[in-house]
Amino acid sequence: MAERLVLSLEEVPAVAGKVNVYVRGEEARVRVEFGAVQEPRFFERSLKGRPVTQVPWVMSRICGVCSVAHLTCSIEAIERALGLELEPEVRLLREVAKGIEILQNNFVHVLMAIPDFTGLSNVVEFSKRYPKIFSEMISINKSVLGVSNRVCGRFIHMPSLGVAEHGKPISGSELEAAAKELEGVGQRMRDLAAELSELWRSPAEGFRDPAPTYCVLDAAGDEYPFFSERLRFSDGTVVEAGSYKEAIEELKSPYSNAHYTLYKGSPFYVGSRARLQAYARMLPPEVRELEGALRMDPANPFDNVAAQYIETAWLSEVLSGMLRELAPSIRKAAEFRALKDVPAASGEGVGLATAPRGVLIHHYRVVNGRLDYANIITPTVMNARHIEVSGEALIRWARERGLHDEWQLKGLVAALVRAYDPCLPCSVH
Amino acid sequence: MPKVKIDGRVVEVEPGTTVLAAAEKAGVRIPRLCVVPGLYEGSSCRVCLVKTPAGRLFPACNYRVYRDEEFVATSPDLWEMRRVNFELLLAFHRIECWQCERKGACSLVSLAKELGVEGIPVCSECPLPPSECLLRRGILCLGMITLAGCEAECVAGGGECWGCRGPITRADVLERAFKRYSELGFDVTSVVSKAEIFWNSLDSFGVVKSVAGRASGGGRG
Repeated sequence: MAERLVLSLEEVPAVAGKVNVYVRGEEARVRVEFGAVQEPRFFERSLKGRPVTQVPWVMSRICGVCSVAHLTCSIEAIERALGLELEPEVRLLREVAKGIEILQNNFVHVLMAIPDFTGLSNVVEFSKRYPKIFSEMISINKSVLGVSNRVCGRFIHMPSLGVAEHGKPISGSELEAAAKELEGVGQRMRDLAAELSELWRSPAEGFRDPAPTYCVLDAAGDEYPFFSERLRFSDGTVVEAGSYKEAIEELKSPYSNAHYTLYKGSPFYVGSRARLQAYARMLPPEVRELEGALRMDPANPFDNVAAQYIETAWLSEVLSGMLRELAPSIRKAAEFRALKDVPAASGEGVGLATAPRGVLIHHYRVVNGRLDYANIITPTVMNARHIEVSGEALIRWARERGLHDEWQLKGLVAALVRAYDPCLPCSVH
Repeated sequence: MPKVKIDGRVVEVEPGTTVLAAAEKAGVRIPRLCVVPGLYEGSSCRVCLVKTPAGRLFPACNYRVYRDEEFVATSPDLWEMRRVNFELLLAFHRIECWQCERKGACSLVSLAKELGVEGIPVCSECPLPPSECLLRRGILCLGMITLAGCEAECVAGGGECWGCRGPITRADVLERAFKRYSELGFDVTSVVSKAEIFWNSLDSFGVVKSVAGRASGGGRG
């Protein structure tokens, strides 16, 4: 007998791309389907045979929101496959580019999800009710985009990033100015948090994650891992990049154009909430205070949005420090343009990057300087099953508290999906 | 003093003033190419055409006003005539912006953009002087065969041109560009392979492939 359709949310609003969520089953036991209806574009297959230096530039087109994540992760995979060494300046500038994207994406998503935490129906209503806060948030976003243009040429599909190179000419004084701008962003975010604290209410306070396993990039020492050679799971397991398939099982969903993943047969999550838990020891005290201001509960999936806000404030400090460190010794960018020809080399490499929404994996095999095999696992693919089990637990949790109204349940499930900040174009690539 | 009405705006001018000068006084922009104040009076390029309400055409740089008169300076047919006149002039120009020092200071390029005439490559907007061209450094940039209009944003941002604006379809420009690629040691097939990324589904890419085929010695491609 077919399962009863309990709730149907088609094209959940305020998420990147198209996703339908269906809740099926009976009162006591429901099943959530997180179905990506975005059309697949077959990036992994269509690039087979291309010269590898062209691959990152195309891979960044997987997503216009987190293009830098795909661009840099793709570059990392190629460099590892070909055994290319990086200049320290190139490494730092690439990490700054990556960090700026996490910072900006997180911040914009907080703005998109803020109605869920202020009891309002959408961002337009929020902007009318709280014009000062809204204007300040837009202004902060603008500052971040300005830094990205200055350091990397452009925010989307950053032209300065390439295999073993950073092409944008930049002077020490420009880096100093960018560092100052980011320092200002950090301070403004802490000031803004005091105002947001008055309004911030979780849509499901006390709700607990039913599957608490998470995955992040393994940090070397106390440095934020924009890129890494290892994955780390919350149970302490560390997995080398090349062995990712032994830990992460990638499966085809019968109702979605995207895959989903499991770790040891169970769902796990990635993203800002996972990172803040894993890297808690690195957070400076003034950033930790924001956890109190936004009443962040790391066990509540909804609080991924609060985690994004906190991570943004933290990253603005991390990045301004990196830019200041780089400023006195920066050399001419022309010296970083290392790779003129496609090396006719062969090899296999896995790039691991911290994308705004979580861990991103690009795995390539290169034969005679051309792409022979590609496999990409995106954060939304990793979160897909976790969103479903959280949704199932959320409906049980809400009903236990006497919430049976269909519209209220729909609103709650939509807010949960938004809290994960899914990116559907990425997930189907 | 005679009153001149241009696109509905009326100005009083000294007798003998050109329509072009009267238009400037009235705040009406008329494109022009050959007029260089104090050096050349113009009337060669015919890009500054205006018309009377009855439809008689004059070059605005050359027609002088001695009595009250009315002119039209902005209309679709005038723009089309100006564009055709300019295209005829441009046909005799060797477009090789990649080795031209004028770059953004070129009136041909700015007029081509204003009139919507195709054939100007991204090199015309490139911030790098010809001596620092990426191609000279071994980096395969598609600027020579790509339509201008993006202000060479990728090159300005530290990358190379990937052709996302679409291909130039003027065969003579493409021929010179492919000759230049060959001179600098780039294989024509590698240029076409890179161009495929953005152009593969465009009909206009056929022109590029055809010219590339001839350039690589493959007959008519």
